[in-house]
Amino acid sequence: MTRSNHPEILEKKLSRRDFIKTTVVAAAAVSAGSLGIPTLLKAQPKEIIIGHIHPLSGSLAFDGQELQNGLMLAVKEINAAGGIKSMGGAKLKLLSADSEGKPDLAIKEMERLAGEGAVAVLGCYQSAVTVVATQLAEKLKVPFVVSVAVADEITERGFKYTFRVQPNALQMAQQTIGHLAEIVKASGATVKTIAYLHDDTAFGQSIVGHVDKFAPAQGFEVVIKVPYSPRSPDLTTEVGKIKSAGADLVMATGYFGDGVRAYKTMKDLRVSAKAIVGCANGAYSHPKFVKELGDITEYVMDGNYQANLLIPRTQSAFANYLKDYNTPMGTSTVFAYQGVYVIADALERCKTENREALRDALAKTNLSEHILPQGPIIFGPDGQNVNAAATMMQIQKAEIKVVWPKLFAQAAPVFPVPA
Amino acid sequence: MADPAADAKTHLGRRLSGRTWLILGVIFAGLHAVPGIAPEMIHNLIMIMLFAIMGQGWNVLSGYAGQFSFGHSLFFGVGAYTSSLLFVKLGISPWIGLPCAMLAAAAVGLMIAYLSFRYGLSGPFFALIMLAFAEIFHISVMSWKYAGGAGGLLIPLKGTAPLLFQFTDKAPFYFLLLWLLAASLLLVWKMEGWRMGLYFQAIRENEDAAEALGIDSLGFKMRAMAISAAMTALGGVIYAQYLLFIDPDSTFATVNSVEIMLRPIIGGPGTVLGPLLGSLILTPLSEITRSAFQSYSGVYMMFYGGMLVVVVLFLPDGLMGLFRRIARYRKKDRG
Amino acid sequence: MLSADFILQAVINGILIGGVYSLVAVGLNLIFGVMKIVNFAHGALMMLGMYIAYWSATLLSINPYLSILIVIPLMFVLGAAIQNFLINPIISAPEHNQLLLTLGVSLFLENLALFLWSPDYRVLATPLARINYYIGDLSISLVRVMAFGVSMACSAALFIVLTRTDLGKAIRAASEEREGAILMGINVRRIYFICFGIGAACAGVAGATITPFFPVYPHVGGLFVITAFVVVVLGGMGSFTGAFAGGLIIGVAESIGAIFLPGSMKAIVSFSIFILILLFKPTGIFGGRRG
Repeated sequence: MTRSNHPEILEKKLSRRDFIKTTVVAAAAVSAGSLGIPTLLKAQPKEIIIGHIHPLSGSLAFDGQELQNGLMLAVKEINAAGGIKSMGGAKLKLLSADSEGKPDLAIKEMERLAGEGAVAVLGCYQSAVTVVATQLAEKLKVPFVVSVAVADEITERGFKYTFRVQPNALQMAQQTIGHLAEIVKASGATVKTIAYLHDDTAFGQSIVGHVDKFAPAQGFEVVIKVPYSPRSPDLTTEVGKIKSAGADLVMATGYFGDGVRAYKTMKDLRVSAKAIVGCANGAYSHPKFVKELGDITEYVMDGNYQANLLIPRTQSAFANYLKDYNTPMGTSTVFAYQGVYVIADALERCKTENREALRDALAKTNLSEHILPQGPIIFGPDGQNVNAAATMMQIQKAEIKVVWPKLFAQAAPVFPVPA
Repeated sequence: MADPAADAKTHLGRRLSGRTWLILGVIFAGLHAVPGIAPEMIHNLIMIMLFAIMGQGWNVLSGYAGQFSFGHSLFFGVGAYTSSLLFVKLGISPWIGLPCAMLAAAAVGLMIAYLSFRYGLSGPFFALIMLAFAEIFHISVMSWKYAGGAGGLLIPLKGTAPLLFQFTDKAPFYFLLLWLLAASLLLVWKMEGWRMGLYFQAIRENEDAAEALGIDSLGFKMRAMAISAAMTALGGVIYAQYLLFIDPDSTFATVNSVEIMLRPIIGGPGTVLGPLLGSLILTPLSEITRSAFQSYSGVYMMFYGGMLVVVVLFLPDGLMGLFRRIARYRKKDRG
Repeated sequence: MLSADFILQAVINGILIGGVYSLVAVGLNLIFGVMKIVNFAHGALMMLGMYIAYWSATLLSINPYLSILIVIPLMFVLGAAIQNFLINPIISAPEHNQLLLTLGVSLFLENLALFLWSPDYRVLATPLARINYYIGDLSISLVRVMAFGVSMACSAALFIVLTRTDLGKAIRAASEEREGAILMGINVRRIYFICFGIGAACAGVAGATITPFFPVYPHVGGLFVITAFVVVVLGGMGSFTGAFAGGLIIGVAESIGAIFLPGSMKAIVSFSIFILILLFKPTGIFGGRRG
């Protein structure tokens, strides 16, 4: 229902060679008419192709399509503002690839995008797919900007062509605990114990591992860690364990669907704590969470990646997104959107479509004009954004507000949460 | 394997003419030139052959011996994880890990086969118990910290290291799979004529009658399971080395069981060429539908589902069955 | 930490969700018991029931429990059509072909939903979902009780149909002795499509009843379908009361199992029960007949 038509975006086109190849193999089964889209590339003014690989179908399609919307918006904005000026106003074109959430398709699609001239590729939302895609990008010497994928390993393999703007699991866990400690201190309350509810996928496992490690330094102790399966229809027992622990704080990590279910169960069972705090929670700082659960979400906190909502640059991006897609821009989408701008910035500086030159330009990125709550975007030698920041958010009066650090805060944190 | 013609002579009653061998030999030799001519096709061909081999594994148990498995991702995962763990944790080359993986999968398969067939499971009950075992392994590996848990195993990239089964280029994988595919086709083709192959089919057609004729159906079903599991595990090992990354979802998940069994089902279950034929059609077809309907998520999977329905309804013996029917029809026409 | 309240809470919610499992399983079991078909599309049918309830509430402002009156006929017709046009032609083919066919139908329906309604998670915002009753420290959610109650009522109604009516007798005759039923002049083909229709309607109603507290999305059925298989095997293939009681047992077993097994491991309880029953007590713990 949220799908929109965007004629200015290049949908996937088959090269002639691909076309002949695939048609010969299975000509009988498919109406060739749907494939015979003539290539537009020659006739148009100079265009720079940027590829992306996301799960556009399958069970993560919801997330993948949101990210694609963010990419399309950034491309549209950049082109409307005159394209890449140092390259004669060359326009960007987005080439889409569907991973279906499968790592082996990432190989196929990465090769295709490289073969069709993508100067850089963004992706892939899932860590498993990203791990495989970046490996091939390294081999093919194609700059790869991770849109969203939190696994630390992605930038720990000494790759030269992999860049990540988004905070990784380590940065998010460390900063969330840090922000939390500051908020607690400022409020004068005492918090000693944390009960942690998390999904048992790689994502939840790695976040909770880091939190466990950083908590003692801030005077917190994780007294119970309750893993749950995101596929489980009923989470009563898991939430019951959290409730029985009677900890000062409840923390939670999960994806959107299970995050909603787990939170609803916590409210049903009247889990009491000084606050319920997410860490990289797929639900707690998602506008749909508030929209769908209503006032019971009041005062929920989440340490997560987010845009810097105080500056006009972000506000205009959010407004444009709402206009185009009729739904608020999610936090993951922010990084897909920002990723395109990072590539555009590097293109402005290297003035060429040469991938190696673009990689070098990306490595030298020092971008202060962005929509993130951090200093300039600078990549370390491993390709990780050294200033990548997570902020603490809180739902106040049905709106998700950044409450910490103070520099980016839209409102003061309410802590402890009134009963 | 190297000299198929010599094999054919000793193979009573199942001879192909010298001319057929010559044609097959020329095709096989010619396929070696593909990486040089059309490098952009290699990935697709690798996936086609990989799934053809694993589909052939499924075919031995389910197509020939008639024991329908809905959980072959289990052997895919056991294969991939065995060789990768041996390499990552103990530094053992995947070349040695490969036979180990096949043995491990066969052992798991034999255990399940013994339990299931000993207690007389068949039909959908056997299919479902395979699904249940695959899911138990899936969930257990997700919680198995030593094997990387849900995060999976990253196989360290060593550059081009043939002794460690690593190639930065795709061509070696292509050649390897080409030979393994030829070997698997030859093996199953010969198996059809062996006593074992005939017993498999007898069990499939009528187990009670086979038993009455003195065939040890439990023993032969277990043999089918062992061969089937080992062949599928072989695919798992190569997949792991090709991607250099595995996790529980990309190996043990049910969707892989569907991918593996769909190829022989479409090509023709219980035929030598069925899995390859199915793979040759399905891989490019899913590619085409995916690219044609890219902006409409879901359409191409709808197509997949629809195709499955159509094949079951109209081509219960797969494409090979269709070809056979056409051939018979023509013969009748002439006669 | 194992307070009595905690365990009691787990048991209560286990029973409440178990009631929904029961209804899903009763439908699945009817299809299995009568036609010997393992219906992989059952989860997809449940998903359609959820969407019907969701859209009726959102677009037509129909109370989600009243929307069951829309769900039942629509799902019945869909189920009957699947049986009549897709399954019937291969009813005497090897069993795995029917399994594959329902798998194909399932893939088709789930992705049709993805295509039509996008992959969005949709939560039915009903004020009912906010109502909880508390007894001491125990919490009982109204919508879960409603889901349980409606599921029980539907199962009971179906039970009465099966045991007290001529149609029920014909269904049982067709399931027990197909050839005999034909000889007795029962139109087996008609019985089959009625059964599949009823089975689909059960799945749809189960879906509709959980919509007030469960997000709707195209692949949601997968969360329930495996559990439903486990329930059917546990209760005994073809046994109505078995499926009914099996749902409640699995609901509680999963809830209690989660106390001891972390995260996804609790699903291992279900799968292990499934395997053990299939191997050692294939008639199910309630001693129904083997299919």
